[in-house]
Amino acid sequence: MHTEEELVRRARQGDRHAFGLLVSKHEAAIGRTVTAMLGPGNEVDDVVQDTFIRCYESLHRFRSNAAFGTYLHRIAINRSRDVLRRRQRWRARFVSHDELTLPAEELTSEEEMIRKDRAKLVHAAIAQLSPDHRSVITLRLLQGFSTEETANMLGIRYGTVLSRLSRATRRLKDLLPGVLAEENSH
Amino acid sequence: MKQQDIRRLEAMFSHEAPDQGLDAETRQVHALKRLIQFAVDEGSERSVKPFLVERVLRRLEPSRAGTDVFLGTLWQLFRPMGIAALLLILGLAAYNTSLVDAYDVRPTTSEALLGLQPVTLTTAYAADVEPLDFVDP
Repeated sequence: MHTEEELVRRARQGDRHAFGLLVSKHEAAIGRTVTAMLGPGNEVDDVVQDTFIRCYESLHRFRSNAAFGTYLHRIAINRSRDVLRRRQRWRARFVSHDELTLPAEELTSEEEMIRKDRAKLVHAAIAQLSPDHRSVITLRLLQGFSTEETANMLGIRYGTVLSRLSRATRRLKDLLPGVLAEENSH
Repeated sequence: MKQQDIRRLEAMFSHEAPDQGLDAETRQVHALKRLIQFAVDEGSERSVKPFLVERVLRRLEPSRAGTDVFLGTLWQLFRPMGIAALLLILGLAAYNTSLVDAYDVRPTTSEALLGLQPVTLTTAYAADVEPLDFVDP
């Protein structure tokens, strides 16, 4: 079993198999981060791929005293923010978010349908947040990074992370009163 | 932000499981976190297609070798043509500029470089237009 540090060192020397092991280890977490930032859709897969490609191409810049996961998440957040900017500039002007292509899904039962509807509502609520607020919700609340790590990744102050988090959660609570009450009762 | 507020917010967003003693606001934050986790997990499973590792490694392959060779070949092929075209353009511009003294009116820089004679009423009037031969049917 190789340590992450060793895999990074080998990947830096051009060992693509080592880099493949790193991708395999982090793909689920990066997939979640990008989905939280952009909402589900075909763009997510492209951004996740791009994140790993950019990471490989800039591995020489990665300082080994930092955590590799943190480095990857920073790239994923920046790439997602690029897409959000592009979306805001072009697509959002002509196409509503509901019309964005979503992968085909199979509905199995009524319970499953209800669960998926709730997920859609949550994504629609997150889509109402600014990219700054989405970033803190994703890193601090969803991925469980510490406030300090989140601040370092986003290049903002410790207090700013907490105040943005507080504002973003308040907004989400306002947007999802019914769903939240249901979840609270469980 | 006050230390007291920081402590309160840190406790609210901490990742430990909520206990009964937590206030309603903190319980709501934890419920929200569960909701987001579920929605994101479900969305991510649908959005990230299978075989990501293979696809990433495949994309890395051409970017490292194939693209570099392709761009190198293109550069080798078009560099002499590019240089020749540039020299030709510079020669023509120099020749056009040397003709400026022959014009009645001083042309603008772009006209001089492109060899365009400035259009004035006199030159327009003196234009050599051949009359059309009309054939009587």
